[in-house]
Amino acid sequence: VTDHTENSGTRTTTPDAESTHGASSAITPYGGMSDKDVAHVLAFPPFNRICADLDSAKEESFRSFGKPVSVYGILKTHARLRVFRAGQFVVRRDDYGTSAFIVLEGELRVVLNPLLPPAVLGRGESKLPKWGKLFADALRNVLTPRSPDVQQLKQPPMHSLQQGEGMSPLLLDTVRDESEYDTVTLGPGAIVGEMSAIYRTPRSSSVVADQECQVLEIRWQGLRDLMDGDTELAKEIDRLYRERSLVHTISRMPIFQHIPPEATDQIMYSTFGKYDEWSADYLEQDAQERAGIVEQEEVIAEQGHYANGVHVITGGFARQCKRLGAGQQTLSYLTSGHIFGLEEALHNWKNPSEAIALQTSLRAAGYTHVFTVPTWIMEEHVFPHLDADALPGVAASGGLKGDSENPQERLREGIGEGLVEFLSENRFFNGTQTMLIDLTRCTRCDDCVRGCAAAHDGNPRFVRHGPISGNVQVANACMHCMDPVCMIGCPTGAIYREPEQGRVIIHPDTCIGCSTCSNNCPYNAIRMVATRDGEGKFVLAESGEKEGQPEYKATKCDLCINQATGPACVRSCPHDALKRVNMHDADSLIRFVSS
Amino acid sequence: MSALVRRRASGLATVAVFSGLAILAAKGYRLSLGNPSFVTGWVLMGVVLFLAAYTVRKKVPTLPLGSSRLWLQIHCYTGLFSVVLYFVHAGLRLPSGLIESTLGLLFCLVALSGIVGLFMTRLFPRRLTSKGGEVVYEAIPEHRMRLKQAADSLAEESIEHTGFTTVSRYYEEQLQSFFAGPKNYVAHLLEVAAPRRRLLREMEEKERYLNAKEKEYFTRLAEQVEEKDRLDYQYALQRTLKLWLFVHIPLTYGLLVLAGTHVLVVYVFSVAA
Repeated sequence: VTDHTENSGTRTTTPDAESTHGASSAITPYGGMSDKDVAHVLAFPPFNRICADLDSAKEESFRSFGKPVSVYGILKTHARLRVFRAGQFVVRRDDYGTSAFIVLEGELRVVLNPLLPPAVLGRGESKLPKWGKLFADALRNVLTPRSPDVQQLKQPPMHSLQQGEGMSPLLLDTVRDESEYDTVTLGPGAIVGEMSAIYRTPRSSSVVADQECQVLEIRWQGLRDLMDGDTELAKEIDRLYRERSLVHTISRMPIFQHIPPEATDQIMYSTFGKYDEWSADYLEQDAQERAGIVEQEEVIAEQGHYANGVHVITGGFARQCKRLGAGQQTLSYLTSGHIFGLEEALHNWKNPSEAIALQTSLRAAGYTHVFTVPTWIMEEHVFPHLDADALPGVAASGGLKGDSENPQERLREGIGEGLVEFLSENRFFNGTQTMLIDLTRCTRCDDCVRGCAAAHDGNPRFVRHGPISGNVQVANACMHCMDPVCMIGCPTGAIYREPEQGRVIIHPDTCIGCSTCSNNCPYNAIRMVATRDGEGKFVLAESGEKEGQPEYKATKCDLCINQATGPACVRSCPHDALKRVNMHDADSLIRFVSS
Repeated sequence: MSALVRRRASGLATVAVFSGLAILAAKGYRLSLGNPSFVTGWVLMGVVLFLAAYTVRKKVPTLPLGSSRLWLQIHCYTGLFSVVLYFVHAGLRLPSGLIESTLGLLFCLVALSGIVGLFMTRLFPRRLTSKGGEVVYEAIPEHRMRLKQAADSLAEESIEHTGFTTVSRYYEEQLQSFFAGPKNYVAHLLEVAAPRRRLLREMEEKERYLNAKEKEYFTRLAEQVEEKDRLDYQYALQRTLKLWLFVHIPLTYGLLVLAGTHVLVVYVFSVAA
């Protein structure tokens, strides 16, 4: 179906991906810090508070998964020194990252308001083509179909930092101007990016080096170990988290609007499941193993236990299931903003003499971040103010009703139990634009693939192939996930979520072909494609480790972001067999299955 | 009434209304002593050109010209209307002359291939799905090769493990050709399972001469036969779904060329007259 020159079969990692992106940042690879480097880092907070010198840093006073570790060990394994030039980005807003940054020397500037233009952050701007171009492209596709993989690469911008890597001196000066931008400067000892690293949320702001500065980059595993061993650091990060994230999330949910600020200290939060490794595990599993995956998923709240709080999903996914014989029957999958255990807690508050236990279980599907609002807060500050109509959709609550008004029941009745289990086992509920094909309508004509190719210079961005349940096929196309694991660790920010419609896009001019996104994608929806120039010749790397080798770019479905007519695959299907469906919209899913 | 039934009913009703109007208009024209052939001919030509434009639309999916689904719906109903219009134009008689006869024949073939294609595109996807064993068409030869290799290996192994050549001999004589290429094309199209059943029954009958170990190999070979049969089924239906367009579209091009010639001839003769 596709004729790509691709290396998607070799899922290689580029260990030092960032170093290939220009020579402007001096990066020591993880595990490459010398004793002198470690001693240097120990002179700065918070390390100078934890250890007096190198010898004390080597004492194994910390524990990681039950094994003793030392600060020295953590730094040697999980940290590296980085030097950022003035104007260079440390983190970009909305990127996903797995590491935090501690300032050692110099200053960083956090850009709060207004937001930096997408082009500065290395992102493309979606521009609809003009009519003339639209017709010219269409005519060219008909008359001279181009060979696959031809991409006209744009010339890099003329300033010294590559696009997306940093900002020009002029823009940096503008950002420093208080009348133009609202910013905060951070000096030695300050930590940035910790929320995103630990809780796997998008970076909340862009941070740029205000002057040349030295920064310690520490992976989330190292930060987690440090937090486990150093109560003060853990407290500080907890404080920052509550202040910057938890309070805002709670206040944005109408149901919790009467919780007083002092009570938010009693709200617990935790992460379950696997951080980003779940995608690797998932890729290794076959269909049979996935069918039994529910038993391996970490339990967040168990059926039959007392409802000691209401769980609010704030990141990742959770599976709501019920014991059925020796197995677990999936009722629904919950995601950010869904609440679990509300009905039971409400029932117990109304009928204290007839208290019931949790009617279903909640399990971490991959990775889940959860707030738990204790029952006493619910009873004192939430239930007395609750208007029955204000109750959130009980896809999220205990599922006591069992009637057709209950969204879980509706979904199960509408699409069938088998399909619910299939979508859960394969974690397809992650998709907001999942390509579903009704095989009882699809004539296998591949007009969808041809349409996609026509919209992308002859390169189709998906394969009409994929797992099947009944008459529904989930095609191998980017689903524009709600929890985009592919975005974790992109060194240049080339893969980003477009703000208007939440589409996950790769900007080809900033992609350095490191394969991080392709390796992370659990659904194999990102391909590495060798780029060619206008004449069809391979574009070869001019410098770095891969000098003389073909340059690769990551490509995937972009939902025809640059087309005036929307996804070409959908519009090209003559039989109404192909749809892009938001898996969180039960009605769309039911409509697709029952149409 | 489901949305699909409603949509089809309204489509057919629209065709009926337009057909009625075309018939009445032609009759009225004739009653006023005019010759409706020029008008109906040009309308028919326009309709045929519009029907052929669907291929062009398919080649430019990025232009805002409406979805392919909508085009196909209109294409089907307009195609039906064109049949009525053809008879309004040519009358209920056999055409005479080489060009008119060929043109009439081409029109009938295009219409017929369109109707057959429509039924196939509605029936075959359901049959393919209910049979299971979905394989992308382009990957079928590779799957077939893998199945053949697996069957070959089973036959070879059976000699080594059973000490007899009964299974391998039967494989060479009866099954090797079955695994070598696509089989029972027409039977699959017509949903006839007899060839598969016959083959499996023959294998069952042979089992009485086999020992326990040989039976084990025979059972595994029978599983391969079932799988190959499913693959052949996919091949037959998917190939036919692809091939019918290679009949419908070239015939349409031929029809357009001849229709153009017909118009030219008509005008040349009318000017001469």
